[in-house]
Amino acid sequence: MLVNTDTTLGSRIFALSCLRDSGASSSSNSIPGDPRGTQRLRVIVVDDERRVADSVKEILADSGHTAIAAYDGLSAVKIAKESCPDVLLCDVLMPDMNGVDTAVAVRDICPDARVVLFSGHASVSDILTRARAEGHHFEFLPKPIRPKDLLQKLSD
Amino acid sequence: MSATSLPQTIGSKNAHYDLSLNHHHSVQFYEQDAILLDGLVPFIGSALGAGDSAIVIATKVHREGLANRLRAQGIDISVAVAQGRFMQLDAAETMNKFLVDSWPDAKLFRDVIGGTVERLAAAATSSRKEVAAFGEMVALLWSEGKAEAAIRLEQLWNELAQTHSFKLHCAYPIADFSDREHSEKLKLICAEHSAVFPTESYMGLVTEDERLRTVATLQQKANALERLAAERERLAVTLADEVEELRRIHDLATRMSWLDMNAVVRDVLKSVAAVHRTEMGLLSLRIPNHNELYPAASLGFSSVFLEQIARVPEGAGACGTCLQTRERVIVADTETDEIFAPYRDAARLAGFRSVHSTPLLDRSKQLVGVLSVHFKEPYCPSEREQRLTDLYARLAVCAIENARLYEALQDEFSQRKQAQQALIQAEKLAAAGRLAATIAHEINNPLEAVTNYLFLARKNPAVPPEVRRHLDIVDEELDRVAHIAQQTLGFYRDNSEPQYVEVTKSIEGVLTIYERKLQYKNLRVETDFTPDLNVWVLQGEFRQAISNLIANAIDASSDGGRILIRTHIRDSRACITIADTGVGMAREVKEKVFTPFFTTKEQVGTGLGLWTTKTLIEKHGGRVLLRSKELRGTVMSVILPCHASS
Repeated sequence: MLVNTDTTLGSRIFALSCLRDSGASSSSNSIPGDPRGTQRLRVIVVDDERRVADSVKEILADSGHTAIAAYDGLSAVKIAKESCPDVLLCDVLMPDMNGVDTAVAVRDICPDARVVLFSGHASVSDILTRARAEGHHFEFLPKPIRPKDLLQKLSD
Repeated sequence: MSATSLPQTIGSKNAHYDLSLNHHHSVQFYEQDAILLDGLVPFIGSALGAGDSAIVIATKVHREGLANRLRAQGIDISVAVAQGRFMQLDAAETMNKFLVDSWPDAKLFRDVIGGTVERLAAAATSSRKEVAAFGEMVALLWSEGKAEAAIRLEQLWNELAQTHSFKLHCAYPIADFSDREHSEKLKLICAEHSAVFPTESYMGLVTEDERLRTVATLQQKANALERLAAERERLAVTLADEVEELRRIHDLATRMSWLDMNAVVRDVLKSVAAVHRTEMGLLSLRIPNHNELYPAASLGFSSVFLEQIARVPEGAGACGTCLQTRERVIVADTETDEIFAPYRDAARLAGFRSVHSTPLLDRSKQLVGVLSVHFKEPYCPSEREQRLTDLYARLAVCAIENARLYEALQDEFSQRKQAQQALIQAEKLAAAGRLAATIAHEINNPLEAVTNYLFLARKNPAVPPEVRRHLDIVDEELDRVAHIAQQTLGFYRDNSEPQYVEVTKSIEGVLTIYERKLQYKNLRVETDFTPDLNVWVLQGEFRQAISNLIANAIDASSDGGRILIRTHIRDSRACITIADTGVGMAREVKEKVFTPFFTTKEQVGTGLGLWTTKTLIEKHGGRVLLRSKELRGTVMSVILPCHASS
């Protein structure tokens, strides 16, 4: 499904990448008041657990980043199509479309987007190993993520 | 016809007994009753005719036969009987009068027989008053198997002859002398007599030439008989040997089901040595998949020699040659046989001069071993010895095959059992793992939300200081919950890729997690880190492995204890040692400590910590070592391939 849209959306991807460029330029602005001079990032947070997605979004917003919460993979892809994120923060185990599939779809649209997957389930290593075997390398954080660690990760 | 006209010789033309000579005690061996009786007629008849007396102590048949013959010769015995000159007594009845416990009593004999002879002598009408006697009591005793009593009775007759005047004729049927052991007794009987008459088939011969020829023939027959007897004796011995051998073989065969290969093999060797009448032997088995033999059982060899032949290669000596050719090897003399040229000294020292080696071949004609017997002197085993050895060799092979099959079966069985147990264990673990992962997931999501909102709440400047202090504590406790959920329930697996990890930094990171716990138990941590020590691992898994060991060290320690953590390089491997001064482990605990779900911390343990550590470390090509002494403490060592940065 995504592959088909890829070919038909070739020009739109180009337009989106322009948008992303402008986003990137905006993200180069320093967060005011942050002594470390952390970049403002455009982040899509995806988790079928609404409270997780919402709380992460709030923490990011609180730290000066632009965060959008999505509760399923498809919505995340839609948001990415409108405007490419700098970072995709995505849960692995979700109904309908899992984290790896979502990340692959977003990467297709936004090849430069950084992807950090997270999960509270131990067995996701199989899914990630498979993704790695197919050439998709994603960063990973185990749940629960301490907000400190998350912000540190994003500033790496 | 008067009695005097009778010839002085007795018997027919076939039997030529000359009783005219004054034999006072003669003995006759006869084949047919008729010949005996025919011969007695002139003996008794001429005595009665001459006015002498006569007595016949015989069986009823012989008495009647003789009386009939005397009457036929015209001798009226009734007159002689009336005159008291002729008496006929039953042999058995007369004998019973002087036998005491089947033995002739000298006094009773003298009374009974002496008295009778005296009366007969007194009744004689001739001037010399002689008595002719024919007696069969001795023959009767002999036929009853009382040879000694018969000889004794002959002697009593001879003693009686010292005081009484009589001519005594005895007769034995030759048929009663058919046994080999009778020959000595026959000589003794003959010795008691002054004249011996062989049977009628010899006595019937008339000319000296005929007799000489017969003697020659008889000598030849006697010789042949002697040989036959010897052969028979030899056969009897052989038969006994064979029966003994069969018994031994049967005995061994019934013990095949023992499955104790060593015992059967030893017995086979002993039996084969016994067959050869030697006391040295060796049963060697082939080392599986090698063309070499090792001694499995030995007889009469020193341990020094056995050490020398601990491995016998193809072609070495009799056994080695047998191993090579798979055929019987006989070295009749080690001093001359070329096979033994290099081993003569060894043979001399071991004390053998000849060897008989037989291959032990299984059903598929594969050689499983060699059965050898050794002799002190040069020797070549007989056909029988070879044949029996082959038989015993087959028994030995059966025992060996039985034992090996049984062993293989047992191995297979225990392997299957182990595999089955491992499967059950793995399935248990997988089920627990799935459950734990699910629970962790369910806990981690709300935990994530709580953590995040707590973070936001604490950032709010409007929060009063008192509430902030409470929220700080909540944050710390949440950290602990997150740690437990991640480390224990989650079977934490690192999803990143292997990388160089600085050991010191990792351990220090883990120690921070346990800071509060260490403080709480008042434990002192002493570290001795080798700087720049890196290992190539998955960081998360490595931390997990170390974290489990430190957690155990803390749990094992009592208040105020010490934990020593040391890192160093040994044999270009990284070695991380975590030692505690805690309770230590008993032997049975040490044996099970790496088994999943084994725990000594009944309330809080999952029984997965050390198992996880071992699994993770071994996955990285490392090892986990354990040393522990009860009440003294435990030392756990992790050894990993080392990548020390230069």
